Formats: sequence, structure tokens, C-alpha cells
Amino acid sequence: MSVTLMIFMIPLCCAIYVINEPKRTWPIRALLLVIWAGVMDFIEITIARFSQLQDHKSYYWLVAEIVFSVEIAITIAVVRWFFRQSSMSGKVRGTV
Amino acid sequence: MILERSILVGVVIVSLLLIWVIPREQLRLAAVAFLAKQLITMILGHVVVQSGSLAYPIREFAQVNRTSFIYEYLAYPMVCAVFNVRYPVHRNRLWQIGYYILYCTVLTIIEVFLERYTNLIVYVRWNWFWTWGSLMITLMLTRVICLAFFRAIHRENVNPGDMN
Repeated sequence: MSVTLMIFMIPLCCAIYVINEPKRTWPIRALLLVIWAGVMDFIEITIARFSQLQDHKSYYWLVAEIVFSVEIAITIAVVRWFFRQSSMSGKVRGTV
Repeated sequence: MILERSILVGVVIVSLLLIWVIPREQLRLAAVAFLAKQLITMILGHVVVQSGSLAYPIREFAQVNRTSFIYEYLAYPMVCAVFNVRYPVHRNRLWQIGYYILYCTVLTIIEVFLERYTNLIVYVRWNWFWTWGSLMITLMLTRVICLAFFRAIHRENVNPGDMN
């Protein structure tokens, strides 16, 4: 497992998308999500093609595209849950 | 081998059951503590194993990971999440220090027991004190991260736009 790619690069790409996600209608956001996943996919394929950092054996670009899209979608869902205004603005701060 | 596998399965079950210990309104704090701890232990765990101080002869995903996946990505972060949501914030400083010591000591005793009687972990150039110390430092670090994170959010909620 590549720590740099799996633990830093991909989460960083997800974070960049989540921070800059446009406030548009859901079809446009879905399209942008797929395009961004395509960018991540392109980066990974380029790394695999021109370096020894990773080797795609039975891992097709379409699988990577779907995996990245699902990862970003889950991240967005978690972030929305986390920052739901009603809960985060509560006066009760628990043990922090 | 069967003993070790059984312990790993048991640890997974206990770790997942710990979710019920976390109050619903504290889930966000638990999530931040869990993820912060995962990042810290992931980096430190790899460094320690790579340096040859510790070894995990029987482990999960053995071909791609030489650290203990269940301990570093599930069990210890979950304990840390519980540590933070149950932190005695309204007690005095002495009580809070005791709370840290209690968690570190219990976890260290469990690890020493596993090292002595199972093949899950082997101390090469390591001892219980390093475990205790690293637990103390990482618990403190996670607590500081949680405090900083939620204070920033609270400030942002009180004075919107301050963080921009």
C-alpha cells in the first residue's frame, strides 16, 4: 500500500472537491463530481503509466472512476452530516 | 494461531460494540477523535514497525501492511473516541490526569499481556514504558486536536465569518 497516494493524495483530492463544491442543482453537482473523479483517475493512471509507484494489474480506469466517485460522494455526505447547522450551533458542547 | 485469530475477532466485536457507549449528541466529537487518532497511529505505527522496534507476526492484510490493522485503525481510535466523549471536563486537574493514566495503564497492561502470551505482537527494541509513553502523548495530542477543532467551530458559530 502506498501511504503517500492512499492516505494523503486521494484524501487531499476529496478535500479540495468538498471545499470547492459549487452550490448548483444536483445534476450539475453530480456531473462535476464525475469530472473531478476523472481528474483523480487521470492522475492515478498517469502515475501508473509513467512510474513504478503503482502497477494496475486487473484494475481498470472505469473501476477507479467509480471508486473515486463513490468516495467523494460518501465524503460529501459525511461532511454535510457533520456540519448540519442545527446540531453544530447547539449550546451543548459536551466534553469539549 | 487459533487463539490469536480469536482475539482479533473479539477485538473487532468489542470495538464495534463501543459505539453504544458514545452518546448520540457526542458523535461528532467521537468522529473527530477517531479520525485524528487514526492518522496519528497510522504514521507512528508504520515508523515504529519500519524501524524494527516492534513486529506483528500475526496480522491482518499481511501482504500489504506490516502493522496491526485492527489495533491501529479500529480498536485504539475507538478507545480514543470513548476517552474523549467520557472525558471528565468538569472535574479538577488531578482527576483528569488520573483519567489519562488509567487509560494508558489499562491499554499497556493489555498489550504486555498480549506480547507475553500470544504471537500478535513482539517487542524487538521496545518495552512497556515506550508503549505507555506513546499512548499518553497520542491521547494528549488527540485531545488537543479535538479541543482546537471544536473551539474553532464554536467561535465560527458565535461570530460567523471570523475564520475566513
